[in-house]
Amino acid sequence: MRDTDSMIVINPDEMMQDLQSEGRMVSEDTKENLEQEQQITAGEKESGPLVKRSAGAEDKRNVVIEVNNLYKIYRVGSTKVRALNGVSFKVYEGEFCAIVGTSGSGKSTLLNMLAGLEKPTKGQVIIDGHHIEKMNENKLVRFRREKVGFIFQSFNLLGTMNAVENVALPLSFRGMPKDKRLKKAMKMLKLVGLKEHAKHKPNQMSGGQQQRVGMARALVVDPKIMFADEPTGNLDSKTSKDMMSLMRKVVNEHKKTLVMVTHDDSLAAIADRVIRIVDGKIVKIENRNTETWEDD
Amino acid sequence: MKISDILGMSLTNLWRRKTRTVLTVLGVIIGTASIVVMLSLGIGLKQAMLAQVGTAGGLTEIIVSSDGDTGAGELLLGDSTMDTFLELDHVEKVEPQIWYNMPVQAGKYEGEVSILGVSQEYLNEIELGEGTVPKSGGGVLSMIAGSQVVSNFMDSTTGEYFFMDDQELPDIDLINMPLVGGIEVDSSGRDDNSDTASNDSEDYVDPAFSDDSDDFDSTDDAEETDDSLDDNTNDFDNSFDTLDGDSGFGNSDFLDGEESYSYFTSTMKRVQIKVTGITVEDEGSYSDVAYNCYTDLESLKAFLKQNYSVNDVIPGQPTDRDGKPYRDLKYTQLTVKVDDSSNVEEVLQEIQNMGYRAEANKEWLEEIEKEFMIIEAVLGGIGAVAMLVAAISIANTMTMSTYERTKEIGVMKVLGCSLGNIRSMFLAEAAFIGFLGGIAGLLLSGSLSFVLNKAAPVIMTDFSESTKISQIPLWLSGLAIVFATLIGMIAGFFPAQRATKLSPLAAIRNE
Repeated sequence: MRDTDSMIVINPDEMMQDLQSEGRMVSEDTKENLEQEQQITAGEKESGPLVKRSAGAEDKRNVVIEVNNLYKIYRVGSTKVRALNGVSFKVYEGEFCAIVGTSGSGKSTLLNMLAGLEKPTKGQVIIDGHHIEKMNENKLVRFRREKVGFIFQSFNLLGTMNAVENVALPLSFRGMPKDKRLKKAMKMLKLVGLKEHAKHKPNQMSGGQQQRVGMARALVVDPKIMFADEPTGNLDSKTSKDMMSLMRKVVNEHKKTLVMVTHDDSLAAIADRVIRIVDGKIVKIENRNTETWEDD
Repeated sequence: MKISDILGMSLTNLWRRKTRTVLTVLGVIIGTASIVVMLSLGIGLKQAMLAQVGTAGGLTEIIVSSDGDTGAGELLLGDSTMDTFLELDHVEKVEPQIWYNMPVQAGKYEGEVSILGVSQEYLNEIELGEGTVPKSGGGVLSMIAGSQVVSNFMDSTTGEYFFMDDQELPDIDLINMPLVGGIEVDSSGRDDNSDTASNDSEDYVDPAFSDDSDDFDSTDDAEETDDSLDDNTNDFDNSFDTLDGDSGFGNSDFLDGEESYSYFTSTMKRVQIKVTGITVEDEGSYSDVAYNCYTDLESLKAFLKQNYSVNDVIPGQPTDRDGKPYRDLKYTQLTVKVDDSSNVEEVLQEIQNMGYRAEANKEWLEEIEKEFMIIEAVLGGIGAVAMLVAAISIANTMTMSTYERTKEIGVMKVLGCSLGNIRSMFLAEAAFIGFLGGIAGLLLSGSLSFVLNKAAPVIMTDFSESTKISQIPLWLSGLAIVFATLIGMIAGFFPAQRATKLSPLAAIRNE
């Protein structure tokens, strides 16, 4: 069993603040990126009430992702490791949601399960009305092909293809004719500002450029949900900021739902909602208003 | 995913690792070439065999011969038989043959000679090395001698067979030397006849010779048996007095009975015969033609009628139950020509149902083909070992490829590439390796085949220039490419399967 106290210590400033519910408030502490928050600390072990409360606040919007009581237990030798220990939350349409946690907290495992890359031990993952945990490999691949865009930490562009071909790749999995998908890919490259690099191979581009190609690749399929796994993990801080603004922009302008996993609080601050996860449990869900971030 | 996209990605991946691809393809090239060359040898040998059969009669012929030589109930081959056969569907032509055996003397050499009375057409088809084709009719029995006929001749004074001792043909000029044939006409001593007719007791038949037999009968009726015998002898003696005198091997020598090496006995009638042509001498093919003499059928009939009386048993002709000869000459063999090889089976069946002993080259060919199938299977099996190694090498390459591309496959899975498409990509890659190897292997086989065909006649003198020891027919070429491709796919199947099972999580991990 984990010690809940130690988790909360992660952010001492937060601890000092009182529980505020439904309140909109501007914090003066700039070091903290969570300037505007709807904060709910997870004092209790049950996450149920937390979800209820946040859900109650955001009722009008469509639920795209619903996670219920999710467990993932790995067996390492004779010991059980609880990577996820009963997680429940909802993500709404058009929301930029950040899952924040330290390395080993289970945040990546959670993302893998949302994207159907890993099977949960127990619990439900309902995405756009589909029970992901019940799908077999073939259905999962199809689900990803039709609904999901994915941005990787290490970009994962195919070295044999140039930028525009890489962006067009997911469309080829859908059987789209070459000229049509290249045209669409080109449009996406324009969107991320890499029009002039279309013919470049990944090894001819900087990390930031590569990640923007990765972003275009995730966007090109016009996904219902986008997942980003530490999208700035391999980028320097300036490029990271640019990247985050780009993601913010895309979410706002194209009304995408984005779930991002990061260990960096400052990056998470750009999100509409921050789910903090420690040792396989959600310790805090912070909501904020998107409008405030539009001018950023 | 479109097929063109799958193939495109596969080719890109092969191109990405050129060296490894080339090495793997090389294995398939060797595998394909070894199978194709081995099979081409089998096919070449078979074709050489078939070519020989083709010259010896072709595939549209049925050979009919009778059950045996001892009378009663047997079906003899006569003119009426010919007519019966001609009435069958699909039968174009029936060619009769009479086989006759006779000792022949040329200078001091003697030998037993098989004479086949055949149609003029048949004679014209025989390839001659020298001389001419004998005309039908004419007084003296003229024939074509096989180039190897003289190998059967011995020195009558010593009993020495040159060919057996020295493997050299005795120096006999059959065309220009005077030849004498011996005819056993002692109708009382029929047991002796069997000696004269020694090896030739094949097949004979029945009602026939309607026209000719009339002549035959009338001649015989007119004369006493003894008379006719004397008559013939006299004819002979009168005509060839000079011959007897010059050669010094006249009747007297043998009549003295000093030497028993000779085929000729005192009771034999001696007639002049003639060889007008000798078959072409072909080192490569020792066919039947080379060991027989051929004459015009009508000439032979006339010759036999002239020299044998009606009661004489003619060597090679059948006898009835009591050992008496039939009144008419019977054919030894009928060759039935069928319009198409596909109808041979049907006609053969009909003739066999009538009770005749009939054989088709085709039947024999089928046997041969079965044997060659085994030979080809063995040769192909030897070649297949190399292909097996190539297949393992493909499997290895493809497995390596899945290891290397674990991450890439993971990424594709995350991006929604279906499992089937991933499998297809790997299968296509393996198939490409097989396909390329198949094509290149075929080119290599073609060159090897060319070299073999050039070298074979030089190394093995038995082979004539025209014989192709290695043949690659079109179907083999096509099959080789398809087979190589298929082998590639089979070898690539498990690696492809492995690729589909790789976890998409590989894409997430960071090295």
